Amino acid sequence: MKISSLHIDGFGRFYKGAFGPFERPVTVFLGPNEAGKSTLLEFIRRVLFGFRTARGRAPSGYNDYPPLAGGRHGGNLTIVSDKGETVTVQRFQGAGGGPVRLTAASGGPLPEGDLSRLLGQHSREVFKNVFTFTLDELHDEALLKDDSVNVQIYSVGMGATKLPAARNALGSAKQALFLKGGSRHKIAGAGGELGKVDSQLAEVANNASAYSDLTSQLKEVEEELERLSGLRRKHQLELNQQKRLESAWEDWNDLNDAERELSRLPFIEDFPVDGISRLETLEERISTAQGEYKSASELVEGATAKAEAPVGHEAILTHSTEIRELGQGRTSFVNSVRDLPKRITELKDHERSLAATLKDLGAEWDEARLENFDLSMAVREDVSQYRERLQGAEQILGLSKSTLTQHVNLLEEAAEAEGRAKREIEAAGKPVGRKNGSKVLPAVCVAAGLTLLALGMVLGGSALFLGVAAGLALAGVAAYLFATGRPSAGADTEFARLARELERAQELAKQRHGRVEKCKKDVEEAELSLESVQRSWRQWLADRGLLEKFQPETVDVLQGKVELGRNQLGSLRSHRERIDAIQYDIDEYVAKAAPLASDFGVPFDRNDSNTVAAAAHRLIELHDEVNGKVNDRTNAETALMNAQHQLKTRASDLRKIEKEMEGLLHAGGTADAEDFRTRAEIVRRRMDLEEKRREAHSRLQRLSGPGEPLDALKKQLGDTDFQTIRDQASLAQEESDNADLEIRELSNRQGSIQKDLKNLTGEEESSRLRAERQRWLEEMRGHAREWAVRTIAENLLKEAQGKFEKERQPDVVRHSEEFFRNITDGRYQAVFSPLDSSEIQVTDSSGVPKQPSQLSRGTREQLFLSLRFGLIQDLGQRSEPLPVIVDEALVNFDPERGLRAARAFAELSRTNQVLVFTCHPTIVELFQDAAAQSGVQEPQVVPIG
Amino acid sequence: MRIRFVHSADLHLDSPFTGLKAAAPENVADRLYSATFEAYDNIVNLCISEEVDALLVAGDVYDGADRSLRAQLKFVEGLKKLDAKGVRSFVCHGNHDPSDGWEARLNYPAGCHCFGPEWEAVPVSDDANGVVIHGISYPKRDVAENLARRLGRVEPSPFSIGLLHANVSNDPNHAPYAPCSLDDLAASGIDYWALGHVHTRQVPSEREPAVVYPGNPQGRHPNESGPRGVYLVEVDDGGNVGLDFRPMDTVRWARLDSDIGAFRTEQELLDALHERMQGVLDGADGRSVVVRMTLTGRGELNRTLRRPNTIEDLVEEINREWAERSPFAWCERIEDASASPFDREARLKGSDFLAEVLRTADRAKTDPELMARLGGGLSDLYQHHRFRRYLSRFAPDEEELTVLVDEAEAMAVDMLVEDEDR
Repeated sequence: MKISSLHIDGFGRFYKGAFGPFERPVTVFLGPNEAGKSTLLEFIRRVLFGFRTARGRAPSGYNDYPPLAGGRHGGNLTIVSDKGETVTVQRFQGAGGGPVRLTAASGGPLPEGDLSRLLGQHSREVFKNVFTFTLDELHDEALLKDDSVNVQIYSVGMGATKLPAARNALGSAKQALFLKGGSRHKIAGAGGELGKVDSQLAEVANNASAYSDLTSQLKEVEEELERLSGLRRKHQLELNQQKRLESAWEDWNDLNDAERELSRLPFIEDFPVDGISRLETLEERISTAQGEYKSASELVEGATAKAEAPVGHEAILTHSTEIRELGQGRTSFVNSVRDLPKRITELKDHERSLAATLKDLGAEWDEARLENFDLSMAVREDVSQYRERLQGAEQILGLSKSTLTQHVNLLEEAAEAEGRAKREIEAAGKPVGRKNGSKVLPAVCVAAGLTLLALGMVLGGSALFLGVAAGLALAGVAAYLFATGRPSAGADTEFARLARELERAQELAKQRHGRVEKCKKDVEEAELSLESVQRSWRQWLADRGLLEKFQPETVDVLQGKVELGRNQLGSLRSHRERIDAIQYDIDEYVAKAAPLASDFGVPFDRNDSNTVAAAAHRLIELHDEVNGKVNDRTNAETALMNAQHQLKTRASDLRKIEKEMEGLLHAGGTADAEDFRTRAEIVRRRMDLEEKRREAHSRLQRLSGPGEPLDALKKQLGDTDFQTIRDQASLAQEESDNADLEIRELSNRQGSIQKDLKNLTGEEESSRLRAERQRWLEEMRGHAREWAVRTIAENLLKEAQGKFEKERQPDVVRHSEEFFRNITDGRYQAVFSPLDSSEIQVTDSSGVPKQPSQLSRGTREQLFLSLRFGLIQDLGQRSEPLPVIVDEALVNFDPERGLRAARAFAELSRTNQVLVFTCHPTIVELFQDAAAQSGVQEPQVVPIG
Repeated sequence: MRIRFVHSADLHLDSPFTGLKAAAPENVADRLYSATFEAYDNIVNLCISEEVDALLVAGDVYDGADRSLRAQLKFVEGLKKLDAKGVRSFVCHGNHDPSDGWEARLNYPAGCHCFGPEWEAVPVSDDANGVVIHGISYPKRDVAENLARRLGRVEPSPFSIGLLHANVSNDPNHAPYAPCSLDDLAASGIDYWALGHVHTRQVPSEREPAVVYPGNPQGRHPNESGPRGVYLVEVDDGGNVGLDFRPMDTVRWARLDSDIGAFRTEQELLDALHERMQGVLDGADGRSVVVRMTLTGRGELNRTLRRPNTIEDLVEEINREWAERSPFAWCERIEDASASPFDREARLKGSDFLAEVLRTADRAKTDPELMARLGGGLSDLYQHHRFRRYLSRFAPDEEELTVLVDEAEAMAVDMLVEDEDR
């Protein structure tokens, strides 16, 4: 099969690109780096064998060559089969590697399955590993190492370049798992652990026989314990008996002693219960009652003295109200006395201020006038009105006068204009008389107009007036000219105009005169009006006693002064009143204190305010003292009554207690306290002894136990002595202790056995160990299985290899031999594989056999290529020969080696299309030379990029 | 004559779970240690709550090697508990606990009868219902004799029970101890054969006579999956037998296969595995579960799974979620039997070396000599003097060898084919 053209729709950097037709056996694709050689190569592979099927992440280093420049991802290849049929293979990226479409030359579709036939049933992998030559594989480390070169070269001949690596990987994986004779592999590790667990298990197994031994030991111990317990019980009983006698011994003695003493003591009947304590209580109560009586007497004495004590100046209490008032007014009095001079000084200041104001107002002003002067709003309004009226009248007068002046001026001007007009007429009148008057008139008109104009300007008359005047003048001239139709008529017209002008000026002067007259009248009227107002104002002033010369403004100032004076007068009067009040208070206070001071002997000078204040203070003190003493006396009288009552009670209490004492002594059969005490002691002693006898008796009864009569115990006690009891008790104790000791020892033994048994029955160690054993067993089994799989895999490869060697290798080697001979220019004659050996050997021209490891590196490479070519040819004989791709494979060869290798490819191109991808122009030359030397058609060079 | 009894067998008390590769976490390990005991406790409690007349134990109370003291004591303790409640017990020994095996000096309760190495006939109860149990224990481990035939024809009685540990009809999955046929059993005149030995419950014959294996009450191996327990047997006055299976196990085994073909990412696979774990726990009736997973099929994910520690990480991830619960689901391992995507059929047609490898593997399946060559050298390990005592019983048989060849082929393909070219 040959590729005749490529049509890329979109793939990597290519978009709608076409290459081909490729018509020669060798096609060299030449382009610089990054021009897209690898892209083209991949394009061919993927259209033929499909895109990547895997979903998800691509393997590292894998390039999808997405259509970067656009287009649909994929394209067509046109191929020609060995039989000459032309087929277009179209494939685009899609599900399952992209569906493929085959089209025959006729345009008809072909079944998809035909592709595999056209590709000689070869897989993508075979295409890559057998038909594609890359730079990398010729520099494979294995090809350079002597020890592995044979295997590597040999496996190339089988199309299984990864076989040696696979063998190595299997071998080392197996060794890690298990190595016969080894000890560091995983199986051995697991075996070691198993051994350990087994021996631990064996130890645990001994536990079971221990269990039986322990069970019988336990039984023996338990029997012995029972016997000893019986013995100990017997000794305990004896011990208890002796202990009982021992503990009864003291009571036995007490009983006997008590009975003996009781028989000796006298018997006293009916002695008062608690006699001594009652006696003592009564004695104490008598003593207390006597003490209390004594203090009550003292209290009466003291109270009587206090109640009868005299009080001086008691009469002052009848003046309590006045004294209280003196107390309340004292501070006020002191303040008044202190403030009075200050107030008087202030009064004088006020008097001075008022006098100054009155002086300002005038000699005729005094306090009365000040008070009576009318400052009402009506008065103020009057003044204001007069002011306005006077001002108004004065203004009108001023205005009238000024208007008059203006009109007089205007009149003068008008008179002047009249005079001027007259003069002009006179001047114009002369030529009129000599010549035709009608010629003079227009000139007169002009003169009059000019005069008017001049007069208007001088008088400052309105523009309208001037316009009209000028218009009239021009109209008059025009009218004249039109009427006469002759220039000679102009002088007459001028004169007429001047005459009219004069007439008008005269009229104006007359009008102005009238106006001047009216203005004069106005002035007169204004003067009269002003005078009338002034008269009225003067009358107003006179009515109020004010000077006629006062202007309304003056009256304003006067009113202000009067107001000030009136305020000052007010302050002055209130000061005077205040001083009077202070003085009154002082006098009143003195008047109140004076008689009291005199009555109770307190020094007093009514003119000295200090002694007045001191006297008041002393009176208050005296009043309080007397008051306190009288109160004390009243209290003492009450206390005296109480004390007398108490004294009576105490005396009665004391008598009652003394009576009780008598009764008690009598009950004790005596009248004397000392005797009473002696009798009481006898009674107490008898009671103690009886108690002692009773207790001893009851304790003995308790010891004698239920069922055993006390008499028996008494008899036992009576029959023995204390020492004998002690001796027998200690003997029993000793024997009981011995039994105890033995029991304790045996109990410990029993506990220890029971503990051991419990440990044995409860132990889970064996469970754990067995589980662990299973785990290690499983681990070992797992490793064994892994090892078995790898062993079988090794065997499988070996079997396949054996079959390949047997059935295919001879042909491959045969084909290779021819290539090798050609490439080496006959230096090597034969390639062969010894029988049943996975080795390749060569024979040089002299017939000497050599191992690949004995060859130079170049020759090894040639042998490598030859074997590959042999395989290609072998495959070609079995199925469709595929194109061979050389991807920069020869770049690093020296020129000679390169040429030989290129020749080999040239040779191969006789059966298989050769596609060379390179960026080196020298490679093109190499193939061109090789083709020439081999006698094959010159390569076709396809530039890329 | 009405009688109710519990038929149990193969208690294998205190024998460890086998097939576990990983050390279980503490909570799981504790349950596993005690699982056989708990199952036995469940049986005792069932007898008491159901107020049955008797408990029958058809051999293999313990494992020979694992007849721990603890196991024996616990066993007797249970029997004493039954005795106290008036439930009698009948025990025969099998290949795993033959009478010649070591036994601690234990006091069996009065209500318990342990059969000796000769056939004996014992009435089930003191009252006169006439039900008789015939039983025999293995005197030693290897009993190749047909013990059923040795019994002969029994004396007629209203209802008779045979208690025996035996392999009926030579079940090839079990060791051929005391082999006998259904005909041998029928010929004896026994009405109910209470058998032990086969761990998966089965009823080879429902009547005349009823022949019943209850299976073991607690699975101890990945292959012993599903509910395990005993039969609660009720015999009516007419001698009709009613069987009621009662699960007694506390921990269950489950095997899960997952085809990786459907998953694109590790996370997708993990999610699916979580779902499976949930399912397995949901289906276990509130019991804990030990799970063995197998990844199968072909898919791109295989590439990821082959990376070091990936499988271990998956196991850890799953157990982090499930193993610490109560009840737990503990994934004991994940076996990777998956393969990378590879068009085997297409490659078989090729003429290259790889095609030869595939053809060789195929050929081996029909060519015993070739198969033997492929398996050559395995005995180096399986019969190695140091390891054979552990490994010889695992040496691959013919069937296993076929599986191994498939795995070996997949491995070889992985090594020869370049990733990009699958």
